[in-house]
Parts: sequence; structure tokens; C-alpha cells
Amino acid sequence: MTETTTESEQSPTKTLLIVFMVAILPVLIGLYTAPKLITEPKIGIIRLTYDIDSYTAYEIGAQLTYARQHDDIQGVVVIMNSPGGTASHSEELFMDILHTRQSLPVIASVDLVAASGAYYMAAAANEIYAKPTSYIGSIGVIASLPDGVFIEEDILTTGPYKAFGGTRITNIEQIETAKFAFLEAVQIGRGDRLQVTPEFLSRAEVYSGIQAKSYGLIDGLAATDEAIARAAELAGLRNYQTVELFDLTFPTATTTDDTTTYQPTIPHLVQPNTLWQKPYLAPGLYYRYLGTPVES
Amino acid sequence: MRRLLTYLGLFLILLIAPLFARYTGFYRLANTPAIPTPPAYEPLNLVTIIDANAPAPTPPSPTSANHTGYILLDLAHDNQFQQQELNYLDSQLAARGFNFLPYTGDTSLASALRSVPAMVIVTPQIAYDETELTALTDFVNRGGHLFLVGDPTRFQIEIIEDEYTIDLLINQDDYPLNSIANLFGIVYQGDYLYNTTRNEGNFRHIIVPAAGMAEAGLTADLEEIVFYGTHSVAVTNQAGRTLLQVDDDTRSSTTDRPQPLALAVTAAQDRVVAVGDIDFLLPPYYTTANNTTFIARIADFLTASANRQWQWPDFPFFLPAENYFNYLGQPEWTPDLQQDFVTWQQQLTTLNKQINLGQPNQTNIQLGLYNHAPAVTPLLATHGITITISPPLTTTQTTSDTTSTEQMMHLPWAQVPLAGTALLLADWEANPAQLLVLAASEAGLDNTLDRLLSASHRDAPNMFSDCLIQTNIALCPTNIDAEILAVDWGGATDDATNDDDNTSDDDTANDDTPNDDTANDDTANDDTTNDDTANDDTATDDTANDDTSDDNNAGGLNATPQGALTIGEPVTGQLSGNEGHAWYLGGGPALVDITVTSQDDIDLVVELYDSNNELIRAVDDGYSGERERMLTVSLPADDIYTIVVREFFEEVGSYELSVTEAAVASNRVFVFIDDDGTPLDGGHDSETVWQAYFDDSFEVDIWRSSVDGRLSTDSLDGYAFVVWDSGDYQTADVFADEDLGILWLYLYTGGHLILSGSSPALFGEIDTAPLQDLTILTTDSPLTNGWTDGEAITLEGEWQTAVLNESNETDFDESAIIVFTRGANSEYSGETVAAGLEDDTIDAQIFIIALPFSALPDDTQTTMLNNIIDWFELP
Repeated sequence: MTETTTESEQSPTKTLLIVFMVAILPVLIGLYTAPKLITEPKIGIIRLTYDIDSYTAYEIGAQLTYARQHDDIQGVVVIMNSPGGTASHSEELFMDILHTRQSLPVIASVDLVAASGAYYMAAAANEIYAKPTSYIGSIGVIASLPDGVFIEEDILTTGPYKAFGGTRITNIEQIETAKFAFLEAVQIGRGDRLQVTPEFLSRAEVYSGIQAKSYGLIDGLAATDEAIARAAELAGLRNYQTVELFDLTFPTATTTDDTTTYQPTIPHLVQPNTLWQKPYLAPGLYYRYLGTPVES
Repeated sequence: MRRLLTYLGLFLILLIAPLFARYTGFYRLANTPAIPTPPAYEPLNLVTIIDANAPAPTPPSPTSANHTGYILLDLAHDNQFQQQELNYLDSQLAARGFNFLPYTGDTSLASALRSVPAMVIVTPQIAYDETELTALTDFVNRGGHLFLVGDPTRFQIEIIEDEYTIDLLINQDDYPLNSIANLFGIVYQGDYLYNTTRNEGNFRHIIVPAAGMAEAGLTADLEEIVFYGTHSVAVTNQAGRTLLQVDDDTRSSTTDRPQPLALAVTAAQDRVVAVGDIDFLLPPYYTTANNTTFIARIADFLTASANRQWQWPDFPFFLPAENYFNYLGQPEWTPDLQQDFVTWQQQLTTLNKQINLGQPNQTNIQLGLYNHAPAVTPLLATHGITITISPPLTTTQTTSDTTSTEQMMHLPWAQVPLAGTALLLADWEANPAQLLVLAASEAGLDNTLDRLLSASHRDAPNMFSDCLIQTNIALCPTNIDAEILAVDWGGATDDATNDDDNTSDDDTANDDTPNDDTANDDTANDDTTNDDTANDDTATDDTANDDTSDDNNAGGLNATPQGALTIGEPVTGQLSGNEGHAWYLGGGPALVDITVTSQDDIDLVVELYDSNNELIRAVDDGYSGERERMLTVSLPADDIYTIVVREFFEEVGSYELSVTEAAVASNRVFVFIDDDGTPLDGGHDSETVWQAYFDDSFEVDIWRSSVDGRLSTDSLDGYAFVVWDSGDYQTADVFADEDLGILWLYLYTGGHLILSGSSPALFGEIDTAPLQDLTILTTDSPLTNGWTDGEAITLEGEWQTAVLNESNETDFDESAIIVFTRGANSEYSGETVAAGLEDDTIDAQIFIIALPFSALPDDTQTTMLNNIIDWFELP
């Protein structure tokens, strides 16, 4: 008698090989390559503490750039504790956030205060959230006027205001022009959400979070975690990590007291005493809320 | 093949499945919001305030008459501005012939206001006192104009300094300008105005449109005025009105609600203008809108003096710029009269007033004797004045007995004897203003002219305070005793006949002065020198200019003259930094107490000078905040004395100065028995000796320290002298002895002291030695009367007494009057035992005897005490 086998009767070894090749191997390959091909999305945290100046503008600008250049950063939340600062650096950050918004959502989360230049910056964000008693607003400009002009025998200039920059009147004009620019930035950033007139805002008052919500200066009252969640929602994320963009942008930064050379310093949690220190206002325009600390 | 494809499909599905699962684990597949496109940011609002190509506005021409003069500018109340900030307003004043006259508070405000039609007060930080407020009210009530400028950005910055830190405190709570404004129903609100809707480049730059301007000369035909940071100002009474009112969009920082708000008001029938901002007066803001014209109108307001109502203390400022002068009766133009005229002419020139000699029909200033009154009868009649001299004078009167004659001035409200009273009549309504001065005698007229000369200083005090004034008539004392009416110039009624009792003191600088009765102030005092000059046949170079240079220096004492002092009437002063104040006290001989009390915490120094500015006495005993006293000060002759008050650290503060008759009773003696020290000879004092000696002629108060306790600070006040008897007791620590501190204070106020004891109390614990005899040293001092030089005195017993010599640091200098030395039989023979010491600076006298007084023989005790009393020269 002749022993025959049908085609359906494959050897167990072959069957196991096929199962491995067709079912297990692709899964293994998929499991192996998936983390490499699909990285875990992140919400980047940027912290603005204290005054806006050239240092903060540089550091925050660099973090925003990092967020734009790294695909895993799917959204940005700026946690704000700032009374504002120099006008031009506030405007720089405003425009930087507008630029970032083209590729990923930016949420501003106000902690203690986002006043004046800090609010200017926040107005560029997709949405702004604050606490009920956060300080919001102070929409306006502060600057010192030049003294009277004079000439000196041994210093020759090529124009009457070369040494002074301009007259008191032209300075007033510049200040007022900057005020209108600020108001316009708020209107652009907030759009239809704004519930008050520019004339009202030009009083430059500081509002609580509750008031700011009713005036349309912010989108809601929320804790920082909720603001982060909102950023993730805008980014279409179901699960995500939160990362401190400062750590990623400046991996070698340390805390330092060395003031002779600049190096990025890890943002501290805000110290109210430092926050409300009276600033030295050099000549120039400022979007800065001076605050009035309670005398002890 | 099919199977292969199936396997491949399955392979791919299973390959993708983990990727899909991972992706869907991170990302939502549905309802993912699209990221909105960010808006564009292109702000375009450009603000322009001034068109650089538009010509600068030009001010209108002055509307006021062509006057010259000054506008008083307050700088005495910590005003928060620099005078040069008002240069544009100053230029507008200059275009009208006026300049700012800074008021620094060196003189009274009432004096400073005499010469000006208006005053400008800008952001004062020190409130005005009652005297100043009264002067301002009177000034405005009589037609003076007042321009008040507040500003919310001009506040007081107080420097708070402690050991380690300096803090600046901005004081915005007080608003001293309201101390004046309220007088006229004006209130400066402590706010600022803002308008976020329509403004001049900033919310605090307030535009006042024509609709907000009252119909007034200041705002006529103006279209827009801009204020740059302004208070709101309210006027509350019917005599005031709003001048500039803001629109409905302007809010006050204190209310933030729409309400009628004014930033400029007028009051007191438009004599007071109050604005809430200084910046509109300053460059470049005065060039905006119609500000230039508005400021020019303010300059018109300040220089308009048509409505000024004059009074006598304003002399000579009611006189026109050009005057013509004439003596009634056409006297011979003697050197005396010439000098009087020249002095007055020079003085008025410094006030921008000319005075020339004129013909009788063109004069507006006339001086004469009452006997010349018929020449001015019409002028007198116009004012209801009649001069009666009956019977008419035919010869010079030689007596002041006028009982049989009528020599009276009949006024609408009184009849006044002509002798002793000068008539000053001013008709300031006339054009030009008229001035008539009549007196009974040349000397009386001379004194009256001196009064006018004294008043002819810009900052002169009220020189008519002793005159009876009824509107434009002043009746002033001529200060001539028993004045006799003169018939004509150069008559027998010359200075010698008519001079008062001080004729013999003609050169002592207080003769003939019009204010003798009120103890001449500085001006009167200074002018007295001129008076002497005028009366001197050999005219000197002592001109009015010398008077001016002395005005702020009180004859080289580096002190600002403050005026006259009267005994019993305290005065107050405010020292400002490094200045001293000079007060003038007339009279004497007298004994006075001078007390200066610090009203702020300042360290006062007081100096007393005679009329030659020789220092009589000075005192600086107290610390900051304590009073300074000179007790029992002798003013030896009828003279002008100067009391100078200074602040040691040149700080600012006020004080009260009073001069009272000395409270000293010349027969009161205070005996202090200092018996709480260590006895050197068993405990002994001389109370019985003092009691026995003084009982007959003195009122004696005995104070025994072991019984009566400590002295108080005023225990020694009012005593002619003090006996400080420590017997044979020795005080170890004189610095801790509070009673000795009181004694030092007593001495520094000019006291007289007998200091007796084995170890005189002021010397403390010094070396002692046995003493049993004395040697007398005689001098020409009363202390050694009745003794023979070298005479020996044997004591009753031997006493352990202090050795007053160099080794004990108790030797005396050459000015000491040594009376007793240790005798030949005592140790340290020849060393001093008793001496008289005088300190001219504090006017103190001390007689020290290092011996229990009772140890002296009885006759020596009596002689010694008699001599001491003589030496003290008690009044």
C-alpha cells in the first residue's frame, strides 16, 4: 500500500512557520516600529515669570521655536506670572505666538498676573484662562517724558533732537500711538469675544479673572491642568505628555547667580515680593503694570 | 497564489495594527478642530498733536494801560515749582511792563503786597498762617488780583531718613493751597481729571471747547484751551463762577462718573482766578490750542490795577510814576530841606517813582506848616477839613500854653489840636494822586517826613500803625513834646526849641523818630541816621542807600530786621535756615527779663546789643526745644537795643520772644544750705549768720537741702542774689548734683552768687588743708572797702578748707578780685581764700569764699557782706 498525503495536510512545522510569518511577525514588527514612527505627542509648557525684557523675550522665543520645530510638540501652554515689561519685547512675544499658532495651538494660563505687556502677549494665544482672582488687564503704556532740550558747546549733533530723541509732544504722540497699537492687538487677538469697548479698556485698569471673563478678556476660569487639557483638545490629542519646554530648549541651563554673563536660568516659581518690585524704567516705552503693594 | 495574497494581506494588517492602535491611542480620529489661522496684526493709528508745519501761535497785544511794576510771586511756602518754569508768563508780564517780584517770607506778606497789583501763588506746600490770610483777604477786598495755580503732579515729597535707609514719602493728603482758596469760596479737589474719549494726546490732557468757557474777558473768542494734568476746582459762593468747564466725557479720578467739572474758576468779583494746572503755562504746552492767548489774558488780568483801593499803609505806592513836589510857603531852600528832598527822591527812585520840584500849580505832593494851610484850603475843604488858628500867629510862639487860643483841626469826625499831630491827606482818586502833609513845626514836619521815608521801602512794615486813620486821612503823632506852632519856615521854632526830651541824645540814633513810642523798628531806626544827617548842618554821605543795605543785615549783625518790641508784648518769628532775626527794643534805663521760647524743636541763641551793636550779653544754655532766658538784664540808658535770635544749627522753626520787666525784687535773697555732703569739721553751716545779717533789710528765703529736698528749675527766679552755703560739707560728685545744675542755669541768666564753704560746692572734692588766719589784699574794688592791705585776720579756730591753687585746678585768672589769702600761720600761705569773679558775657557775679562764713570774726562778716552787696550793684 502507498502512503500519500493531501495538500491540506501540511506539516506542523510549516504551519507554525506560516502563522509566525503571517500573524506574529507583523505584529512584532508593528509593535517595534510604532513608537519609532508615532512618537507620543506632547504639550509644551512655557513659563513667563516676572518682567518681560530681552532675556525673557529670548528665552520664550526660543521655546516657541523649539515647539514649532518638533513634531511631538502638539500644543503649547504659557503659564503667566508677569506684570509686563518693555513694549517692544512684549510685541515680539505677541507676534511670536501668532506665528506659533499657525502650526499648533497656544493657550495662555494666567497664574497670578498677566498685566499690560504680559496680557499683550497673551492676547495672541488661541485662548486665555485665568483664576478667579488673577490680575488681568492694565492695557496701556507707561513712559517718562524727556526734559527740556539744550545744546552743548563741545557736543555737535546733526539734528536738534539727535541728543534727546524728540520733543515732549512727539513722545506723547508715540505713547498714545503705542496705546492704540496695544488696543488693536487686543481686538485682533480677542476678536468677537471682546465684550467691552477700546475706550473702556484704555482706562488701563487691572481686572480680576472674574471681571476679565465677563469683559471677554479671557475665555474661562480654569486651573493650569485644565488649560493644558484644552490645549490638547485643540491639538486633537487623546493622550499626551506635558513637558517643560525650557528643559528641552536649554538642556544645560542651571540656576546661577552669575550676573556677569548671560545664561538661561531655569524659571523659578514666582516669588510675589520679586514680582511686585518697583521696576527701573529706563527711557523708552513700557507695557508695564507698576502695582501698588500694601505697605506693611 | 490566493493564499499567498491572503497571507500578505493579513501580514500587512497585523503589521499596521499596532501603529494604528498607537496612533488612535494618542490622537482623536474625529472632531479634531482645525487650527484657526491667526489674525494679521497691522496697527495703523498714528496720533498727531502738533502740526510741525503750522506756525506757532502769537499772543495778543497787551490790553492793560502802560504801567510798570511787579507781580508778587510766592516762593515762601515750599512752592513746588521753579521760577524759570513760568518764563512764558513772565515774558507776557514783561510785555506789559511788569516783572515777577519773588516773595520769600523775609518780610510780612502785608508789606510785600503794598507795592503790587497782583500776586501769583503756585502749588504751595506750607499752609498760610492767619496773618498772611488776613493780608491776602484785605488785598483782594481792596482790588488786588490773585492768581492761584494748583497741579495734581506737584506734591510734597518728604524724605524719611533713618540710620540705614532713606524713603521718599509723597504727601498728597494735604492741600495747602486750599487754605487760601477757601477764603474766596474756592475748593481745589484732590483729584485729577481724565478723558479717554477726546483728549490732547493723553487721557489726562483735557480739552476745554468753546462751549465750556464762560463769557469773560479771559476767555472771549477762544476756541479751545488744553490743560495738561489738572485738578478740578469748585467755587462755592455766589461771588464766584466757573470759568472753564469740561465736557461730559471728562471724569474726576475721585468719582469716575459724569458730573459738571471745572478746571478754572473765578471768585471775589473776578479778582481771584484759580486754575487746576500749571503745565498749560509751561513749554511746550503753552503753544497748543489757544493757550497762548489765554496766558496773555492772564497777564492782562495780573497787571490790571485800575480797581485797586489804596490805604495809608500802601504809601508811597499809590503815588504815580511821576510826581511834583513843593513846600508850602516857599521856604528858603536850606541844606536841611535840600537833604530831605534828595533823600526822598533817591528812595522813591528805587521804587520806580520820580519826584521833581514843581510849581505850586503843578504839584501833587505838598508839605507845609499848619500856618500855611490857607494855601490849600480848597483841597482841605474837599475832604471836610478846616484848620483854625485863632488868633492868627504873628510871631513865633514861645510857649506851648495854648489855653487862650484855638489851634485846632476840624475834621468831619473829630476836632484835633494842631500841636503834636501831623495831618497826612492823600487823594488817591485824583489824577495824579495828591499828597498833602501839614505839621505844626518844622521839627514835627521833619519827623513826619522821616515817617514817609521809612515807609518808602518796598518791604517796609506798616509805618502808620500809631496814626489815626480814616480812609484817606492820617493823623500821626509828631513825637514832639509840647510842640509849638511855627509861623513860617526858619523861625525860632527850630529843632532845639521843639525837640523832645531826647535832644541831648541827638546823636544816639533814636532821636526824633516818629515811632519812638513804639520802640522803633529797623526802618525807623535806620532812617534816624538820615534824620541826623538831615538836621546836621554838615551833610554827610549817609544816604538812603545805606538804609537799604542795612535792611537785611541789621547794622552788620547778620540778622534780618523784624521790627519793634514792646515790653510785655511777646512777638513770634519764624527762623528759616541761616538767618538771624533782629528785634529792636527802645527805652531804658530798666531791668528786664528776656525770654525766647522755642515753638519747634530748635536750638536758640539770643544776643543783646546796644545801639552801637556792641554785644551786651548772649545766652545759649538750653538744648533744642528749650527756652533761653536772660534775667535781670540792665538796659543802662534810654537807647535802642537790638535783640538777635538765631538758630544754632541753622534749622527752620518758630519762636516766641518776650521782654518783660525784671521779676527781680532787689531785696529778696535766697540762701541755700547745702548740707547733704560729707562734713570736714563735724558738720557746720552759717545759716544764723545769713539770717542775722539779711533780716534787717532783705527778705530771706532759706532752703536746706537735707530738709527741703531738691530745687526746681524756677526756684531761684526773682531773687536779687543767691547765697550758696555748703558750710564744712563737701560735695563729691558735682556733675550729678541736680541742685548745682539749677545754680549754673541761674548764673547763665546773669545771676549774683555768694558761694561759701570749706569746699565751695562748685569745686567738688578737692584737696583741703588747715586754715587759721587770713591776709587781706586791697584793690580799688568795693570788695575791699574798709580794710588795709596786708591786714591779718585770725579765724575762730582752725578749719579744714579747700586750697584754691593751680594744682587743684582752682586758680583764678587776672580778672579775679582777690580779697583774702591764706595767712602766714596757715599751710599754703598766700593761696586764695576769697575772690570776686565777673563774667561780662553772661553778666554774672560770683563771690567765692573757701571757708565757712561763720568762721570769720563778726566785724569781718559784716564788712565783707556790705562790700559784696555794694559790688553786686543791686538795683
